[in-house]
Amino acid sequence: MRLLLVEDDEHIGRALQTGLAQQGHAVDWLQDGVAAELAARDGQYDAILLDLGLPRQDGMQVISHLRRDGYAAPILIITSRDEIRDRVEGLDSGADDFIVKPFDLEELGARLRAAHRRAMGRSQAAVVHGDIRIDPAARQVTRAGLAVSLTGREFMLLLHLLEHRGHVRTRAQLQESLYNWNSDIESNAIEVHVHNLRRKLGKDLIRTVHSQGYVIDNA
Amino acid sequence: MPEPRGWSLRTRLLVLLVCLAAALFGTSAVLNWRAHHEASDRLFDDSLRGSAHLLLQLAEHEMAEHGEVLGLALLQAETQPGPAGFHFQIWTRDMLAAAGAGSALQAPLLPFAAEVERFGWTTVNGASWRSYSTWNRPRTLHIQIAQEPTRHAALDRLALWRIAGGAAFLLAMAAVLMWVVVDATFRPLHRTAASVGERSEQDLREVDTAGVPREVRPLVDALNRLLLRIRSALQTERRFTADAAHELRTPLAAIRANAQVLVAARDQAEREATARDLLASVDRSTRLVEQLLALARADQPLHDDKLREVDLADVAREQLAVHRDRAEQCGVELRGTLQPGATRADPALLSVMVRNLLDNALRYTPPGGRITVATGAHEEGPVLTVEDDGPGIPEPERERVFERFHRLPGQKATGSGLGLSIVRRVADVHGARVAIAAGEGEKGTRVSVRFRQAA
Repeated sequence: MRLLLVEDDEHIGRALQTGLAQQGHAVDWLQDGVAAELAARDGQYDAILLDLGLPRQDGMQVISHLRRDGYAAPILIITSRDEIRDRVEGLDSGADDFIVKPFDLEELGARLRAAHRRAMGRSQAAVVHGDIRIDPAARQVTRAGLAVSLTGREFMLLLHLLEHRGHVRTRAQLQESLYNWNSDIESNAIEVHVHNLRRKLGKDLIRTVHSQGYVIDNA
Repeated sequence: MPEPRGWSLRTRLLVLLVCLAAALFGTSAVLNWRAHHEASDRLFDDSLRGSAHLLLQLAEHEMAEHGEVLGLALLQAETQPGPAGFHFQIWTRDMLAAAGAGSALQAPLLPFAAEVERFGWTTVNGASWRSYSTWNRPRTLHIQIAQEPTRHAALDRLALWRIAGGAAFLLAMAAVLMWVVVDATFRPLHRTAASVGERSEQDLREVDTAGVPREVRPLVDALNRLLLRIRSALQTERRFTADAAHELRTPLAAIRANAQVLVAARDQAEREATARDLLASVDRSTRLVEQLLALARADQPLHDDKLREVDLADVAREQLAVHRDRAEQCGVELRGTLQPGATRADPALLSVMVRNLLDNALRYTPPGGRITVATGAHEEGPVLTVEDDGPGIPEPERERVFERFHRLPGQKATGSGLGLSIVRRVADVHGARVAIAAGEGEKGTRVSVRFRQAA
């Protein structure tokens, strides 16, 4: 997933960025509320992880501004405020989850996946396409019951295309969903990943739409 | 409800009232009895006098009719005995003259008196009898009469019992009434006491002053003021605990996240960077806990035995030395303008104070900046100032920065948010005043602590 992390504490921010990257996510990290709101409007994030006590603009304000303007991606609050009042207020203002510090990184990952799943309109954890089955939690892919070994990026690309089944994704869109700001991206990176996925899962899975991008058709 | 220990206002009042009533009723009874006694004496005397005059008249009459000799026989006759009886003797003037010479006449009942009449006491058959003597108008006949007062004493005793009994009965009635009245009077006090006594330790609401008598009002008011102080102290305490818990979550979250990231580190560089962050997070928690402890320590009342003669310059010099290295790392110039400034203080707390001031200054002064610590004796007392040329604290924030865990808006949460609270607290327990102003040329921050003159 492509994630926006907004956390003003250096130590927590850095640890979260690394930890979520370990889970295979591409994470952009910002430390203040104003920049966070701008980045959220600008980028295509699958979810936002938002601290509440932020410099320049409070997290609650970020949420209410974004939701007011129809921002749809899941927003998860991560905070050390743990009173019921704060939780209720946070969730009611448009957040999808409320996670109190200190938290477990595994649990945070699971909550992210759950929020993302709901946003995608899925109720099942696994994504199934024909004989291909993807388990986002375990990051495992099977084809006709046999495990297929994918790299982190290949996995993310496959999941992204499957989640947007029937819709053509441009190379730029795919790149953005896979890489955070700090990544050095080879100009043919997407082509290489698509090539590898075709090799491992069959050449008909991903269709190239000429001069537009790639798509996985509905089964 | 168990009876309260200690002396009871109600019991004391009741006992005093009953004693007072007993004294009054007793006095009244005694006076009554005495009045009765006097009246009955007078009555007795009147009757004795009446008898005497009647006998005297009879004797005069006899004398006029029969002559002296016959009269003499009558007059010398034995008196009648009996319970209501009395002895009497009637003497003529001649007999009186003879009596003195020890004639055959009976001994006189009483010593002869020259007065017209005289009451007195005489001994008859070993008992004390009431006596009376008088003359007839021409002073030719003298009568002496005595009557046993036994019946009269019995009557007196009866009256005495009646008076005493009445008094005792009235006293008992009065005691009961007084108990009822006193009890009713003290009921509002009991109500107030009960309403306070039945409270839980959580219930620190004000005691209702409605229906509290004026005399008790100051006590209830004082109690309410105390409750208010306890309430606010407790509130501060609760807020502090909640804040402390909240503040501890952040470094703990960093520790936990870093530890998890470390476990799953993908390469050596990531492992090393995460381990460094983990250590830094641990250091931050440690510092926060230390600051919390410092605050808790400074929160305790200062005991006299901790106070010493302290020169502010010494404390500042010591702390300047301690912070020299860090200042160098931060690229900040650290200067001291130290003049002697003696005060009486707890040296350990003073060190904590100066350390926090320097720590704050170092934290917020950008590289290339300068921090000056100055001490000296002023007219009003010794002063310590720490001045930096950092970003400064805007005017409206200058009071709020002393609040616990308060950080300037927009500031990254690197400090514990407790430094200035500790400074304020240490100043408070020493009776010193802390003020924040802009530094030289309206730049930076100047924190000055004005101590009391060392006595």
